[in-house]
Amino acid sequence: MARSLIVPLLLLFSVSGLAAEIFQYTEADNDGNNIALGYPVPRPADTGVPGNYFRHYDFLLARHQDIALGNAQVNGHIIGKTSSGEDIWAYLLGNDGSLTAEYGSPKGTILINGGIHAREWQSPESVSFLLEHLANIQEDNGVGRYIADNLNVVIVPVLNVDGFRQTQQFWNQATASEQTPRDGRMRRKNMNNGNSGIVDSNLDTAADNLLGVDLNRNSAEGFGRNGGSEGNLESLVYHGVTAASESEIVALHAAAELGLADQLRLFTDVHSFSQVYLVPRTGDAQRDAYTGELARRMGTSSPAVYGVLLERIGTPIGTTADYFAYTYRAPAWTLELEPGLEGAAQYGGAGVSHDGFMLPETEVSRLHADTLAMYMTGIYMQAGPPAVLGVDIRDAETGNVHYAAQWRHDSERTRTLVILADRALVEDAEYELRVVFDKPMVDTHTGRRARENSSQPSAELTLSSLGDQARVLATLNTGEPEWLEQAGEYHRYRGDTLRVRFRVSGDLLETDGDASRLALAIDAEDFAGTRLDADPATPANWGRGYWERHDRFPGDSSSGTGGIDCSYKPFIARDANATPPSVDAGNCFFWNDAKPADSGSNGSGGGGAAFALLLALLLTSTVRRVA
Amino acid sequence: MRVSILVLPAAFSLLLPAAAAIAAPQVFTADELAERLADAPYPAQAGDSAAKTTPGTPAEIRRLLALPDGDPVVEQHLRQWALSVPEETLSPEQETLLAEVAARSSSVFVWRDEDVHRRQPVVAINPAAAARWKQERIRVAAAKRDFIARLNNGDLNATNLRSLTATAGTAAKEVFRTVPASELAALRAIVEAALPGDPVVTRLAAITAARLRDPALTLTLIRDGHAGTVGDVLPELVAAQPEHALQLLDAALERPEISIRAVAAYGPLLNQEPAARAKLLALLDDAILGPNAAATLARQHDPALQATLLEIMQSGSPRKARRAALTLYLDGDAGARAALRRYATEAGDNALATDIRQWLDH
Repeated sequence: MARSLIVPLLLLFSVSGLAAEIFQYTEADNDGNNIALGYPVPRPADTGVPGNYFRHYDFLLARHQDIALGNAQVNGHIIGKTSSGEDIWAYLLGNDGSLTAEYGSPKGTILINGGIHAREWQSPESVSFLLEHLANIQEDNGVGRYIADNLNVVIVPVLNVDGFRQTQQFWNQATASEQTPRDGRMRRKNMNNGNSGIVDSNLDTAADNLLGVDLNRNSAEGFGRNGGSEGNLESLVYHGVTAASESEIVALHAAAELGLADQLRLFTDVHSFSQVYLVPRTGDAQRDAYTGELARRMGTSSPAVYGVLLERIGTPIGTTADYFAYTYRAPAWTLELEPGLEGAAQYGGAGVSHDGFMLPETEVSRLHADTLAMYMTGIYMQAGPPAVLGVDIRDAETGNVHYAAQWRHDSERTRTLVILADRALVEDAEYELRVVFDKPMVDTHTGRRARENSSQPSAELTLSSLGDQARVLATLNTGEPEWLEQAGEYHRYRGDTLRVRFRVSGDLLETDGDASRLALAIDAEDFAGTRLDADPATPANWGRGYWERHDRFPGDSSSGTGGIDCSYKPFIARDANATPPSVDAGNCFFWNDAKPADSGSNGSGGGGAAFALLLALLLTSTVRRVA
Repeated sequence: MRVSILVLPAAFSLLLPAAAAIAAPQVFTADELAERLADAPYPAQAGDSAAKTTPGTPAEIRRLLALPDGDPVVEQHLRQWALSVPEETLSPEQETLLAEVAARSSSVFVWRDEDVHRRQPVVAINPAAAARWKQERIRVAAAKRDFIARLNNGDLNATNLRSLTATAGTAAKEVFRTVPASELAALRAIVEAALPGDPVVTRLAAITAARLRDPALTLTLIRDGHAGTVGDVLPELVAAQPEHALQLLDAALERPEISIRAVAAYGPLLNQEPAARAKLLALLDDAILGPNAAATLARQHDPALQATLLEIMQSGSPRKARRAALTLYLDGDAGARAALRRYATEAGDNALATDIRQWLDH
């Protein structure tokens, strides 16, 4: 019988109750109903420790629970039950679930869902690895601590527990046809049989092999619409009786409430395969643009780069990503893990239909690492854009402070710059500048920094004049600055402080004066490539879909993308005991380049960043960086 | 018949591999694809399992290769043909044609089953992958012949076992699985001398040890073999030598990178070997292996064990008590839940009792 005829015939069998044809996946045997994958068939491993294999759910659950039971910073929550009555677990990471970050700002919520489609084994593995990693780094005084301080990360490793168990029980078997395999290892849906019962664990009884609800079509937004699902119980994309009819979906929706739901800043529903972010667009231009950029940055942070496919605006189909995108305006998507379009053929497989759901075990550890890099980029970005908290300039020999300024938090929405020291910098003395940021700017686990493959440093420090003829006077660091990671050197998080030594020249003085104010311009990106908030006086906040007040310049009213912080104005004088000149609000001419053309240039000239950087190079001789 | 060929969206074309971009990719729904394949006009219908053993003639394959890309029937036929090419006796013409198919760009895509509405197409029929795999199988077949010849000539030694290519390694594994036990016994010393070795040597040693039920070789393998590979084969090795299972697993526990796969292998012994149960109960207190021990013990659903676990919860170290509770939670049957309930009632407000109440409340 032609295998291609099996699909319609099986539909007939399913109602007549005849036995199903069963296919068996093998490594190299194509005889009869065997299907040779061309690589060893992945088989659940009875261990909870990650490795180059897919872990059995019994052991995954034990591992997750052990993490939660033994770690005060990881809280397990039963968020619901499956159709068969199994517990569905979510794990909350983030300083014991506190809802406010430092200075009273609300903590963001991140929700990562795994295992909604049973056969997509890459998903629970990848998501579990993230859980394990975050649990390990919560007390690292670096990125992990920073994330815990600012976010509640909610992880659901396996939503469709019943279906996942079915696929693991029948790890090498499926029914229906080779081209469109169903149930067993190829079950996608949950185990709800649509008649107040559950699908059995017997592939021979064909009557229920095709039943179940596609949990990723069961949410309200777009339920049964836009051609994305079907009402036929046996359809692979059967949407269920009503929106949120499935207990698993109710559980997932509830998981967002473990943190502040209105601060949901990222939802990722992890699937496989095709190696792409499928991104719903709601029609909110700012939200959609930010979501696309976030997906792009995450996708390119994996060594195996992921694409981004922006969906047509306003076409939800009842996916979980649709639900969180429309309900909370959060960046949300369906993330399809590898392999790519060719399925397992990309690893030497024989090109079997649907083999992309059976990632060769030899790829699992690499998948862990690649996807972890993506998740960490997104989570880190959604903790907030970087800002400078303060700077100080000390005499490199004596340690005497010549200039110090810190931002004082008046409230979660405002800061005030407090000048703690303001003494002259003098010619030829050597100084040490420290700049403190509000987050680790380098990944303290991987050493990753912004512009990793570029000759540009992750932070550029420039002194410019403040007079009418504003100009760049010096670039203080011509290479990668030193990020401090030793206890006692950094401020709050490892990698949140940079240090650079420099000398100044009398050339920096205005020709007709004894003392001149300078502007210290700081242009930095965090390791995800996000630029500084150029106006720390107004901290950035999450605005339901994008960062508000992530200013390109002070007073920026748009949904900015950050810029150069020019808030710090030390002075240079001929005499070390010179009286400080008045601190004019001045202007950082870098800002002019960031402002829209019609906002005026304040008459300080400058001609844009390209010119500024060129000038910086020309004038580096006036300030000599000390290696 | 309803057939609609969808135009690839621009975003999709950006995702295609470069080679595929010059072909004429067509995207179908799964239903459309099934209908097209069911209407295949060729005598040896695509998808027909008989086609695997009834290759098309070279002339027919050449004709198919000359047709425009994007026809599922053609692609499926080429795929089936590639899979059916004999590995031992292919003709030069077949070899040439196989190479042509192997170089073919994918041209038939399907909207992922769930993506009938718009989203992501993936390769539906991949004759090139099948042909490349078949080419590798042909190389493996040749390597098997070579390996058997060297075996018969007494040309095998530890050095050349250690230097097998991936293809030769696959061939060697297939030979080791099928040679008579008497011949395998003759290879034993060579394999043992090749240890410690890479994954291939380790796999060969594992096949030898399992087939010969050789605890000494198994112990050497556990001590010196490639850790990941030993972990993969450990349950099979232990199952093949039940009378030595405990000894082998205890040895496996001594090597941390293997121990993570060894704990569960105690499971089948729990009903017969008191020492196995004692071992797993002790492992509940192990920082890394404890959860594995809990999951393994939980699979027993053993009332006697449940009582023991309750005692551990009441008097064991905090970590061991947590793992004992976890075991009962994972067990989940009535007796296990009763034990948990009893603890939660008697223990007051400690953190573990709070966790247990959450388990029981749902």
